[in-house]
Amino acid sequence: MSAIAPFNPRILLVTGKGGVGRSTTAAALGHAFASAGEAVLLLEIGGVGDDASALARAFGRVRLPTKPERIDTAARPDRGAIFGALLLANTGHERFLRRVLPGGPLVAAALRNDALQRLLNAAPSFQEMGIFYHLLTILRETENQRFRWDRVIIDMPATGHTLALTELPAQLLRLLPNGFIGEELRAGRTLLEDRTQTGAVVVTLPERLPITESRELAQGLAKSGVGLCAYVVNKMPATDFSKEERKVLDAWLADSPPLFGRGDYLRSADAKGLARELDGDGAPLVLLPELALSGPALPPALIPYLTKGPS
Amino acid sequence: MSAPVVLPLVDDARVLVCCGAGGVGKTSTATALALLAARRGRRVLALTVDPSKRLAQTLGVEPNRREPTAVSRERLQAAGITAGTLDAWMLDPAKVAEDAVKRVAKDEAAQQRLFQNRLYKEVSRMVAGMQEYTAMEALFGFLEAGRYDLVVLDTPPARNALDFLEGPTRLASLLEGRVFQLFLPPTADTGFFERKASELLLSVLSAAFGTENARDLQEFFSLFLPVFKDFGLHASKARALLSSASTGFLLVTSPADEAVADALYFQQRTVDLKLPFRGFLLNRSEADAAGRTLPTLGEDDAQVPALAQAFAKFLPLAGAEQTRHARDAALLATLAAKAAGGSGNDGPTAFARALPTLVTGASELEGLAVLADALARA
Repeated sequence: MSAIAPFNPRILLVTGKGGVGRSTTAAALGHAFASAGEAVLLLEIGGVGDDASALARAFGRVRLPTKPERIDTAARPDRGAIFGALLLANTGHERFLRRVLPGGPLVAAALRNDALQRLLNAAPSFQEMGIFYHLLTILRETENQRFRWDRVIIDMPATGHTLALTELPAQLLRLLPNGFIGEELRAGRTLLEDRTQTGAVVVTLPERLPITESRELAQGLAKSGVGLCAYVVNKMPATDFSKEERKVLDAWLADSPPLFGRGDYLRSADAKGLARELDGDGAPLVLLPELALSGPALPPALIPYLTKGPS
Repeated sequence: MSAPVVLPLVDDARVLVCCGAGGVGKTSTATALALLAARRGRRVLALTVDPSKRLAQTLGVEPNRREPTAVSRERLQAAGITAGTLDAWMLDPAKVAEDAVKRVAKDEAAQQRLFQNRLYKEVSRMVAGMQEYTAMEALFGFLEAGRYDLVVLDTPPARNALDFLEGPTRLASLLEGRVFQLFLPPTADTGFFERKASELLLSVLSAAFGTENARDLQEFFSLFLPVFKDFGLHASKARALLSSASTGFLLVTSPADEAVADALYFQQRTVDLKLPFRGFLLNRSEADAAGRTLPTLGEDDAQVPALAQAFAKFLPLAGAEQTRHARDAALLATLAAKAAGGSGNDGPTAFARALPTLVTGASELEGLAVLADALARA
């Protein structure tokens, strides 16, 4: 059982359409679990474009470190701390080669081998496979007979690429069913499909297109066998208008010239109804308010809304 | 009002590439650009590499087609297009690979051997990794065939867009010289050192994938080599075209800090890669006040308690929206300064323009036509 219902699984895949606040949500979950005394590891996929990391910016950094490093400064109870790291294809390749090749000299030769390195960089899906293996090794790390990370939160890429990644183990298993790689792919797939171990958090906004797309994403995830543990609707407007208030305002606005505030009003009026469309869609609904905060100050301010549980 | 800057691009460019972070309205902007160009009488292809299927759906074009599909006459007319034509296509890596095999394979038997190869079947269907190579291949094919005056390319969100541009370089580095030969079974001509290197690779691959898989992999490499070479060759030509003055890179952003940071990063990258950066499009912004004023309640209205009470809740929203307007207008000025500072190549000075938030309630196609109008004025 998790300290923060409904976010129970140890591995949380935070995903959603671009621009909905995946990184903010991932960072807020990190703060929430660390405040509850857990050792949290926040991950994102590294590679080209490492300079533009929204997750790193949420912790006042330009980029996440290549090896797990503490990225928060708050004093926390127990093991409470937030570590951050990049998932890197190269690290995955290296760890994989170390694991499969008999003896150090062959590993060294393979790592030095230019042709092999070029293949790993260029062949379709080898990059993704490396990232996947890096993640698998991180999830297995232990320290004093317990998992080194109580909670692993992954800031996934936007919709289409999340699905490409979650479908990868099954696809690769058809490709490479035998040998050590087959075993590891099976282990990874089992972990991804175990609902007590892994859960997806689909982040969305209270707007038409994002709501529709988040349902499609949830269906895609279900197809690839990953369980959905919650929908998070981010940036819920702070002001809520009653039916009566809407009636008088709608009539008054119809006779008014173009006004500041009209667009925001229409958005707030629709927000609740749109968010409610996700209710009863098989996963709890968590609403995060739109706060007048940005940068590293925003994620911790969202903790109360995450820990409050489903609304 | 300054002279339109988007129209000349839409009239003259052969390729327009829209890049940006996710969720900034990149696909809508790309589609609206394509609509506008078709409206100006050009033969246009809207090509999307993004796994999100929105563009094709909006235009009423089925995904997973072998080739581009023409947008129906009714839809074209609804979007104000009478002279030009508009086709749309969502990249399908497996189909592009299949066409390449058919073109490259020596004979029917060679084709069939490749199509029957277990690895080929799986690899060609993978979105991850194959997309970047096949996108360049498809782009090259369309331009080479001369079927279109303009291809508008909607790329995956910022970070992946770079993969797509740099993929060909990685492929070229693998295919270059004798490197690739090392993955193939040695022949009688293979020299001592190459044979040793090849053996090392086979033992690594066998350890990683199992001996049987490693042999399959070798067969796959030897069969697929000509196709990869073809991809590589076309990709470098496509890359050269993307660097030329007949291409324009447009960076789409929303006013959100993260999206702006991505757009600025991307501008730097396009300039570094010597790609023709043409401008920023600030989407979904309030930069244009569009005649809006702060609301006031007339004396009579203020006497109505229900309205007065509701208005008190409305007023803070108006204040917030006006603040955003001021912030977005300042952001647009900043982007314009950044654009003028670095436009890559020796093309015209890059610009920054704001586009309105799409009207909610309008059908997607109507919304796109409105966006196309705004682009024509921008």
